[in-house]
Amino acid sequence: MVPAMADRTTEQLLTGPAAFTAQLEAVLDQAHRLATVILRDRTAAEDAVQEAALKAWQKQGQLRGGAGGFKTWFLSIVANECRMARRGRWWHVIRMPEPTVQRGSAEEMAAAGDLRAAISKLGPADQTALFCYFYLDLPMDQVARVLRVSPAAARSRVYRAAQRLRPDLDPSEDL
Amino acid sequence: MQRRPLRDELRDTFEAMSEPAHPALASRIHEEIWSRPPPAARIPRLAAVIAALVAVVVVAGLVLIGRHALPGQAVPAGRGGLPSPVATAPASPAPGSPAPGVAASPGAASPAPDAAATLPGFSCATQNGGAAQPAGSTGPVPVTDVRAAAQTGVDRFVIQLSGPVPQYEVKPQASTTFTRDPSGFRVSLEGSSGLQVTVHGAQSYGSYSGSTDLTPRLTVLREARQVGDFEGVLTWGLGLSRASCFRAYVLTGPSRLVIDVQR
Repeated sequence: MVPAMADRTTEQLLTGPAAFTAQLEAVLDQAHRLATVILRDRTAAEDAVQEAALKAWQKQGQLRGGAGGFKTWFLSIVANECRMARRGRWWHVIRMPEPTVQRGSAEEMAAAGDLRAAISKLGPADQTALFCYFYLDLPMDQVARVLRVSPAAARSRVYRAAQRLRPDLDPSEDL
Repeated sequence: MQRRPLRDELRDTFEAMSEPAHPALASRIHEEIWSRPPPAARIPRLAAVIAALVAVVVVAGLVLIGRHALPGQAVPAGRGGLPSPVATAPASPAPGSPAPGVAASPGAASPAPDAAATLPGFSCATQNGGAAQPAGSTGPVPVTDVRAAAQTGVDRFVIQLSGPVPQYEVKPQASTTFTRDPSGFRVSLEGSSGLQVTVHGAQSYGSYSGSTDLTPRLTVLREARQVGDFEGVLTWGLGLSRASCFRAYVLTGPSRLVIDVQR
């Protein structure tokens, strides 16, 4: 699809609440999964996704990148919302469903074979990078749009984060 | 031994540690978006900042001119000569007596019924009761358990506490949408009708580690979800399959607030 056509399609798709929510529902599951990975709390994840959806609705004029751009644009808003939630003061009093009592760094957790705990130890940006690249199978340029960095920076972030989980990672294996 | 590719391991781990969106989330967002006007053309941010600065300068200038123009005059109470704030409206009367037409609800004074014969009758209106917090109490009463189960002729919802049941209110509503406290977000439960259970002076944070979203899917009681636990006010929303009368009462040993919804 030529870019100009893609832009026009997005414009048509996003005019009006019905069209907007249809676009949103197509990526809601993925966005919610990303939020639960970062926040590790269903209620907080729902709040973050809902807040992100309302911000996206208010700021849909800022969407760039054609029809395929909605997904990465919305995921980047969700990731940012989750980052803010983790930084916010209320985060410190939210009860976790499964209190994480593991001590140690991501590397120590990974060495112990507990990949889940190791991922939990990563920062939101690293979690987002790994989630988008490995779980959502987004190409690196789209990962970069979610992270709001250049493709080269996204690639190095994915690689560095993956290496924290598997220090002997061969770059040719997965990246 | 050959290790699994990292991609496969990560995919499985992310699948296990993440959850798909609850169907109610999409409808909630849908409602929120439809209830808001479409985004209007935005005023350029710089223009808005400049306008705000000009407004501040103008107001500050007027205040300074006013002070210099009236030397010797004392500034009246309240900033900038504004009238003092009016006292807030008196608090609404504390709940305690049932509304007209409401069946007797066991409160602080009445001893806890321990047999079915002493249970109150069913009513479809707001019910309240519970004990006022005694002077010198150390804070909200901790919640130790919350459960829901089917009983003979009723679906029962129970909040168990480690102290006397404080003042509570059980209020019927025509929808299953509740407002979360303190975020203000709306949450929709299963069913078509709802009951809001509010306990003033109770807290589940730190004492209750069970689920805050029960889905017993009983005949009438379909879902129960904690929608607030903030500053000593505990709120649960109950999603009912249809509007139904209920009774709310207190039992002791252990102390608990019981809501029976008629089937």
